[in-house]
Amino acid sequence: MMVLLAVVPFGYLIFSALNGNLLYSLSPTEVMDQKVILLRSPIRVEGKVVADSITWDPLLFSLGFKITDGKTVLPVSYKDLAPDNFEADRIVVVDATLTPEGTLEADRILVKCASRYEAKDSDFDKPESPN
Amino acid sequence: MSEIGEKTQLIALLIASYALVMSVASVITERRELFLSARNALLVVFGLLSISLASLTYAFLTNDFSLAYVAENSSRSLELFYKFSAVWAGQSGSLLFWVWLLTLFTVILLYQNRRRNLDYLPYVVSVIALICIFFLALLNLITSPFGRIPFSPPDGLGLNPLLHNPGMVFHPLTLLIGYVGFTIPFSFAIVSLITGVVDDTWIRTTRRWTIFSWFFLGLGLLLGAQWAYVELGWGGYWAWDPVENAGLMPWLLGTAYLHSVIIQERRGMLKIWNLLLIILTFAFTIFGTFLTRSGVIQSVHSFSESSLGPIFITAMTLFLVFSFTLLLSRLERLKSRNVIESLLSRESSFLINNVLFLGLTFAILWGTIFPIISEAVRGVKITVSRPFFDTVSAPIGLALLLLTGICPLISWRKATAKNFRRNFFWPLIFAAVIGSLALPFLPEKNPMVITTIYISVFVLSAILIEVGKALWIRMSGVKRENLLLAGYNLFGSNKRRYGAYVVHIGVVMIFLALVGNAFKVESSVVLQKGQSARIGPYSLEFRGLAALPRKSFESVQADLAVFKEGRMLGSLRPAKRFYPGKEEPTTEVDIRSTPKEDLYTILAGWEGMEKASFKFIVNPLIFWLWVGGFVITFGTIIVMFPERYEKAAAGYR
Repeated sequence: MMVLLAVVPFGYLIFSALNGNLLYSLSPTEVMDQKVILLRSPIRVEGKVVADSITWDPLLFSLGFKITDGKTVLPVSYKDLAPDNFEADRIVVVDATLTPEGTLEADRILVKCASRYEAKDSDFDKPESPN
Repeated sequence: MSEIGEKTQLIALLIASYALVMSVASVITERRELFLSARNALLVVFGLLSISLASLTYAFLTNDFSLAYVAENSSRSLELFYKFSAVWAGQSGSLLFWVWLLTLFTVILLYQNRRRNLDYLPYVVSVIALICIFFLALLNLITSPFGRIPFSPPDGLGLNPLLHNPGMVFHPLTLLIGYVGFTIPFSFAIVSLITGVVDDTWIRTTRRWTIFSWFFLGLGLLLGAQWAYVELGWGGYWAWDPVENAGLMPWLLGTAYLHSVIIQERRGMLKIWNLLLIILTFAFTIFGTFLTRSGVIQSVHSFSESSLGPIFITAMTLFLVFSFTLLLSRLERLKSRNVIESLLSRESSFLINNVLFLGLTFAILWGTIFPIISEAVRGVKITVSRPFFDTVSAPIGLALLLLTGICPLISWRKATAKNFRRNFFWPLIFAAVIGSLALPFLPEKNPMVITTIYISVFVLSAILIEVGKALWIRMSGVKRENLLLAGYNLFGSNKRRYGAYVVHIGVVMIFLALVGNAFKVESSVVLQKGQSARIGPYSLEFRGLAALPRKSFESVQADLAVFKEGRMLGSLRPAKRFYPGKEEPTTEVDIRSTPKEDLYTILAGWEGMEKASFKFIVNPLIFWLWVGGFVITFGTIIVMFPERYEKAAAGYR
């Protein structure tokens, strides 16, 4: 009885809170495949920031870049400051809505900093850069 | 040098295995000299790991980039201070640090118990040796900080610039101390299950360890929040990220445990519950250790990619199955001496507190692992976004806050109407009056905020009236002590109780800071040199940009003059730093902090030297988050002091 008393309100709280706070996690390719269904609904897309795709207009607070999963490239636009660890070749998670033009309009960008803890061995295989 | 550390790390594994064999043998044969040998072996393991840690530190200080770990986490230009912190900036280093801390704590524990709990210790040593072996095996076989790269690069990759903040030096350190510390009460709990001596010896013996670990874990979370606030440049401090949740969950369980053991000590109840809680707390500290340091965190996806993932899952499963089987086998002996007599009693308020903490932990866990579950069940990965966590934690947090006020007022066993009238009357009046007086000052009437304010006033007045009454008794009547002496004697007479009150006052402050968050104001502006922008009560004038070369980076700094009601208050200098080898600059925010609100400024970018864009944030009451942390620290120190009766009982202290 006591258990039920405890579980029911928690269960209710958790399920009512889940409502409206769920996002589909997709790869850029999956987004392209289901483009029509996904229009205007919130999604979370994970991908690598394409090198040399970043544009930042500090006067308009407008960030543009592209993400890829190796197959599909998707443009992203964001109207705020980029997170501090945002840079090319990072894996980022973008909470966004898809516009009819195929751009992800991001509400939030999260940079994965796995390399901080798990630097890849490949970092050392690269030739030394001249700078 | 590093070869020495690598070897001592390997020998430590062998000696820890020896300690395990000897301590188990001493349990079976009941021969004390075997235990002494096991004990000494653990002391040796501590010595060996100290050498390993020292040699890894030495490798950092001497820029020995032939070690992959050093090359990945340091560079020649890194400041000395951060070279120390880089030791635990990565996975293998922090695991080495973890197990070193465990052996350090074990040495202290063995010293504390050199004349006590002698029948317990062989078991405790076995459990700790087993945990050491697990970590040492990982360190030696899978993720060694002494791993080499075939050729030594001329310079390291450098410590992540974001970690160039004192907060990020102490945050992992305190968090790790907290994580590791819980191993001690856990080991004793498991031993009480194994031996079947399920009285509360283990709780009393490890009480201070529990508080110590709980405190450091909480401090670690707070330092992490502060780091995020000053360093990440988004004006917030908590994002419900899986990493953060991984640190919060063991802390919540540990807090539940801290409260529920009081019931076992006072009333002999909740024995099973306490064991369950400490097992879960320990499980979550291990979960947290791996999540934050294995790269598992960033995405649950990388579970499969991390070499540690499968080992970790297997070990976790084995551990939980073992612990719960053990717990089930002892159920008979764990029957309570008492039952809860009334729903309106202090016992039940503790129980509700526990249910709430556990419920909150479960809700956060659910939100954190939801993507894995949905992928397994439905084949699509569905993520839970941030508002879920806010929605769930706000009501539970408020209920917990309310209990903080109710608990000290309500009587043990069964509260009577008289008890209610006597203890609740004034706190409720205060809450109603002061809370209502505060309402007109709120910029907007948010029901959650209003509730928090009423409850906070209630809790504060409940605590202050309790303390005030007790002080009054000492100051009047026969004793006639002055205020200072009365305060000293009162807190000295029951440090646990009054220290806890102080901690609770700190908690109220933290809740007030969370309320302030609801009234955050942000604004993004572009300013020409000489132009001003308004935010909240402030006016900020952009006075120009300056490029400043520094030792390990270059900085572009903006000069902002801050005005309030026409009076200049000072300047703020947000900047961007360019580190060599990093493409993007990092943001250095500048903050003007007052008890009422923080003015938080971010330099977003610039065009030429005359035009720049900024983001300004006014964060009300955030100051109290850190003050609350200090108050909790102070309260914890009071709680940790030995009580007079303990000193008398222990004799040898």
